[in-house]
Amino acid sequence: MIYYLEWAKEYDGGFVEQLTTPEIKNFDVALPGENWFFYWKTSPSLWEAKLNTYQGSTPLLVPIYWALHNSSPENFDFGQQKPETDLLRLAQTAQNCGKEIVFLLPISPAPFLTNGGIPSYLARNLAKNKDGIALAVIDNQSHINKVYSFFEPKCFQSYRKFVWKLGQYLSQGGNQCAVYGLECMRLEENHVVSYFKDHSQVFESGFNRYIKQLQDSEPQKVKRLVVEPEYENDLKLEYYEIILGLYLDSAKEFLAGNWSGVLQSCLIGGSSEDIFRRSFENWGHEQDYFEPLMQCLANDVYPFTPLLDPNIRKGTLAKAFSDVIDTNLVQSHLEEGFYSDEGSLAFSPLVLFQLCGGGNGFFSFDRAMEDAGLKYFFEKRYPWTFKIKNDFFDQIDDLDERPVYFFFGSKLDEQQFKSILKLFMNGHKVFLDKTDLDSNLDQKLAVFCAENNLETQKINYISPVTKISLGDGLIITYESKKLHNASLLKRTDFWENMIDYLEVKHLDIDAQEGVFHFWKTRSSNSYELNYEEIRRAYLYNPTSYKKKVQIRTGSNFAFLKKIDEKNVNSKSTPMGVDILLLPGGSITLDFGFFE
Amino acid sequence: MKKHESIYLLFRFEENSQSQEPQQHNRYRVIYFFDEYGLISSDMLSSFHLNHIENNIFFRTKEDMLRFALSFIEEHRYQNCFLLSVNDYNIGVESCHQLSDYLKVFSEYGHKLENTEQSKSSIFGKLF
Repeated sequence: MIYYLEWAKEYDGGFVEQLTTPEIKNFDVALPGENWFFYWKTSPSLWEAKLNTYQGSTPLLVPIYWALHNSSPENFDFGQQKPETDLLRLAQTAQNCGKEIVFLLPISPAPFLTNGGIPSYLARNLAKNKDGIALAVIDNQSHINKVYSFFEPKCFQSYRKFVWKLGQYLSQGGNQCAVYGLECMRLEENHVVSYFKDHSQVFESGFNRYIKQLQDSEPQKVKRLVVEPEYENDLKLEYYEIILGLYLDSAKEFLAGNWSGVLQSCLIGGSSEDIFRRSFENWGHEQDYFEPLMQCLANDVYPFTPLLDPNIRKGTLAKAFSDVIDTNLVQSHLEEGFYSDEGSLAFSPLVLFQLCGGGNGFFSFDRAMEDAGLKYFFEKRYPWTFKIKNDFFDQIDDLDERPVYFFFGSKLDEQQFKSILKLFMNGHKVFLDKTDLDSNLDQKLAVFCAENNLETQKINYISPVTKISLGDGLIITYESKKLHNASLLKRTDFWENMIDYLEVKHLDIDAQEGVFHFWKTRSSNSYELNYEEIRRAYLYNPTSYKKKVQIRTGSNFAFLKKIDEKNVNSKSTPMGVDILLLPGGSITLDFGFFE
Repeated sequence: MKKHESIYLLFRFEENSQSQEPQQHNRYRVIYFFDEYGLISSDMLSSFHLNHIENNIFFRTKEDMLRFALSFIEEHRYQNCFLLSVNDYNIGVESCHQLSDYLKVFSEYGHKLENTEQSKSSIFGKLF
């Protein structure tokens, strides 16, 4: 008999868990391919049966539900009181079933859980977004899950105690399961934002204490703040990173034997706007979630859909989720370098352009792309074939050769600037936006070109453009400030010319509005020696209209096969493939690439 | 023209006494403006003379904001508008646990503006 946990209101507004009468809910384990297992939703006597229904090859992701194990300050339960809190039993059951599991310990609020996963005795101060709006989400059973601030000192003290108890419990039980930190993210105006980030009064109070502390330890920072009020943003970021670091360090310290890294996971349907969208039947549509899914891919965060209503998680959207969130994606987020090592024959998202080094602060890639006209250009010509990396790369040797790299002058320090030059010397292609580039760095670039006798061409085309080349290596500098003043048509024309010059090899998809598509790629195998690479296009029509799509193969691609056709008419022509996607239609097509 | 039920405006009061620029003074900033079909498009706002910086709409006084909301519901034939400050919204959210409670936050904690023109026309519509 299957029991499910449901939530019931406590008199003080908190929640307690209750086992209720059986009710079949297909969405208890998240979508196929996502591999999440919510142990508190199933009676332990049925864990084995439930685990056996999972047929995937990648580890099952098991978030640890803090509130379930720590209902009051001094009460820690790991199977002693409630059997469903026995994580060692779960690990043993999984092992008996031949399934690998990894535990995910939230290091930020986890809004798919009541109160963001924290015990109700700590749920006192709501976290707020940049506009001061209390963070809350609607879960897939129409509960409002509020998010509470992790900047509350009591929250950290309790978290540390909980993680210490958890570490003791796992080590005493001899458990070798990997434990990852889980940082939950959401999309806000096309930015990926951590739920840890908070603008509440609790954060502000903590920040004020931090400033007081700085007056003694680093008074120069406080002096700078007085003359430069905008510097407050940098200091707030610094404080945020310190506190996040405290949580992370606690988890690493007490779970040292099991600690394996951090998984950043973005909750689809978890943005501030989503709470309004999902409150009205006429507002929330299936197609609203395609773009967030693609944004997750572009921002290299793992998409996660437990908040979405099961009615919306069907049809083409369900197909898109299972296409995007496949076993390779899971593995690539758990194992660094997965795609370049054993996964090289596995399909990975196609990345033709990589935007780098935004940092964790207030730099907006979206704004930078919009100002330069890149956003519209990518959407029109190369949708979802770009990747955004906030971090600056550590090892140049590990970088993929294919993408064209974009850097933004306002974000560069000397060390990073040197790395860009090394990247160029190693034969990579780089675009550098010189807007707000430090004048010393600009001079260094000129000296670097003169000293190495590099071939340099200068033109003035909407923006001053300098092309520096050496073998395969190429740096093209431009100024987004100048581009910003030009019409969108001119900016698009600018990028058409620039990218055409680089001879980026890709297929053109001419699709009517409303059709979503994205690409994956893999190396060719021993049966595909005519090709260097296989590119796979995924197309979806979530609308209720027929949509036409044409794919032109050009001189470097050959159409190979179509797979997973649903509600679609397609025919191969000498020019490529013509497709008619019926309402709710989807198709996947493979193309071989050759030079 | 199609008649709509309600429209919702979530705003935030922002203090900025240090600024010299008129647009940066104390102001009411519109955070979200939406109806049951989604966020209000810029096309629907184009006939109103609004202070805005990029996509943010501002009002110098609360009266200006109320006047705008009233003329908006009259022009676009909404029955009413619920205006709610971020502070009141947060109080409302804190007390709700279900989607059904959440939908009441605007009506219970907000300021309701009625489109009297619409009410009149509805009565006449029923009579004739």
